[in-house]
Amino acid sequence: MTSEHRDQAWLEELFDRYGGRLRAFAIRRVGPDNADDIVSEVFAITWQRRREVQDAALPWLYQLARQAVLHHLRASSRRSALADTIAAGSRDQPATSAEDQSQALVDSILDGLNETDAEVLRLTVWDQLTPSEIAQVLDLSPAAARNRLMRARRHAQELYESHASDRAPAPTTPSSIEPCPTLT
Amino acid sequence: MTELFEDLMRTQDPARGFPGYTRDDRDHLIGSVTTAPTPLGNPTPVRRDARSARRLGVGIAAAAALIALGLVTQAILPIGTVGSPQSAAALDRLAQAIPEVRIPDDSYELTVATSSWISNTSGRRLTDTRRTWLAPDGWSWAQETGDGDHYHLLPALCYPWSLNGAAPDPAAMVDYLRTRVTGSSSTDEAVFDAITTHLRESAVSADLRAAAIHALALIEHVTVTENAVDPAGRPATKVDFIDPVNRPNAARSFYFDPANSQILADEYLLDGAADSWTIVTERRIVDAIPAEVTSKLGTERVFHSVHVMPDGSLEVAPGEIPDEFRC
Repeated sequence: MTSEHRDQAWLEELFDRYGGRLRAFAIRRVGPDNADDIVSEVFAITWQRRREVQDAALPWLYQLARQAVLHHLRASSRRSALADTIAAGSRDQPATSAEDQSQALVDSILDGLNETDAEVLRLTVWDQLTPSEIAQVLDLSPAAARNRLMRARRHAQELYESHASDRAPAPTTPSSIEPCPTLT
Repeated sequence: MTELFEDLMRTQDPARGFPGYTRDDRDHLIGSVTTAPTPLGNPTPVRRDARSARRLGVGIAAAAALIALGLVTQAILPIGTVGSPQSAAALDRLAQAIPEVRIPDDSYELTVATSSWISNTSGRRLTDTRRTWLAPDGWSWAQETGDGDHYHLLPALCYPWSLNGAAPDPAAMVDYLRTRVTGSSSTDEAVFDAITTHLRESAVSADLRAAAIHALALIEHVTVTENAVDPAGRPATKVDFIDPVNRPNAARSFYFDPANSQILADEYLLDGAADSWTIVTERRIVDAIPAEVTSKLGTERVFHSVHVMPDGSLEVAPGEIPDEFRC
C-alpha cells in the first residue's frame, strides 16, 4: 500500500501485527497500568504521520514507543534514565520469593550495564529485535549495535556468574537452563 | 557456574502472562486515534546531537559518493531456490574454497570495512570505517572512524549460541542454534544471523567454517546465487535470506568471495531499498597491529573499549580496564 492510500484498515493491520509486541515493550518499561497509553500514543502519531512510515514499520513503531515511554517517565517525575525504571514496582518491595529474587537479580544485573548496552540486551532478549532493527530504534550503526550486544552479553554473564559465586545457594533458576553450550 | 543470564532473563520478562489485544481493544483504540486531535506529549523525532550533526555533512557526502560509484544496489530477487540441490552445491563449492590455515601464528588478519546506514527518523545516511586485526585465537583489535573515533579490544565470540568447540556437523549445528538463538521474530533469521556472524567475525577452524557454510543450506528462506557481483562489482556467491511471513519487507544478503569463502559485503534491505550495508575493501595477513591502535588498547587481552573525546582525551568503557587506562 502506498503512503497516499493508508487508511484506517492499514492502521488496523499494523495494530494486529505489532500491537501486542508494543504493549509488551511498554509493560516492561512503564508497567501494565500505563502500557496501553503508550500504545495508543504510538498509533496516534503513526496515524498522523502515516505518509512517513516505512512499509517495514517495526523499528519506526519501536522508536516512537521508546520516546513515548521517556515522555511518560519524565511526566510522571520518575527518574529519566530508562534502565532505572525497568520493573521499578518489583524493586520497591523486598524480594521474598525465589521468583522475586530472580526478578531482582535480573534488574540488578541490567542496572549494572551501560544504559544503552542494557537496552540493546532487552530489545534482543525480550523484544526479539535483530541487531539491524535495534540499530534503527536506537539510532546506532548496525556495527555499533552488534558490538554493544556482544559487550552487553559478556558483561551481563560476568555479573551473573559473579553473583552466583558470591552467594550460596544460587538463586532459583528455571529447569530449562542448561550448562554452557558446547556441541559435541 | 555456566548457566546463561539470558535464559534467566527470558523467564523474568515483566510482560509475561499478560494477554494480547482483542478485536474490541483494537477497534476502540484505532477508532479513538483516527478521530482524536494531536495527543499531549507528542514525541518529537530523535534529536541529533552536536557531534552527529557535525558528522552529517561527511555522512551525506560519503553516501553520495557510494551511490555515485554504484555501490548501493537495487533490490534484486534471488534466482536460487530455497533448499534446492543447486543451492547446496553452490555452498559446497564455497566451502571447498576455504583455506586450511586462515591466520598463521603470530599474525593477524587485517580487515577494512566500510559500513553505511540510514537513520530511521532523520533519514540521514552515515558511514563509518572499521579496521579489525583478528588474531588466530579469536581476539580482535578494532578501530572505528566515522561518528567519532572508537577502539575496541574484543574477545573471541562468546554468544549463548557460540559455535566455538562445536563439532563440524551442519545439521547438528542448525538444530542446536534453533534452541539457543534470540533476536528475531523469525527463528530462521536468527539462525541465519548467528551463522553469518560467525563467518564474518570469528576465527573458527576451517572444518567448522565449512560446516557453517553448509548449514546455510539447511535454513528455510535461504537462497544462493552463484556468479553474482557484490555491491562493489566483485565476483561473488550471493546468499539471501527472505522470510515473507515473519519478516515481511526485509531481506538480508551476504556476498562471499568464491575464491576463499570470505565475506565481501552484506546488505540489509527494507522495502526493496538498501537500508544498511557493509563492504570489505581490504583483507590481508599482517605481522603486527599498528602502534596507533595498541597505544589506545594495549596488547594484553583484556576486553574493553576506548573512545576518543572531542578534546582528545580518552574515555575507557566500563568493565575490565587495564591499569594504564584507569582514571
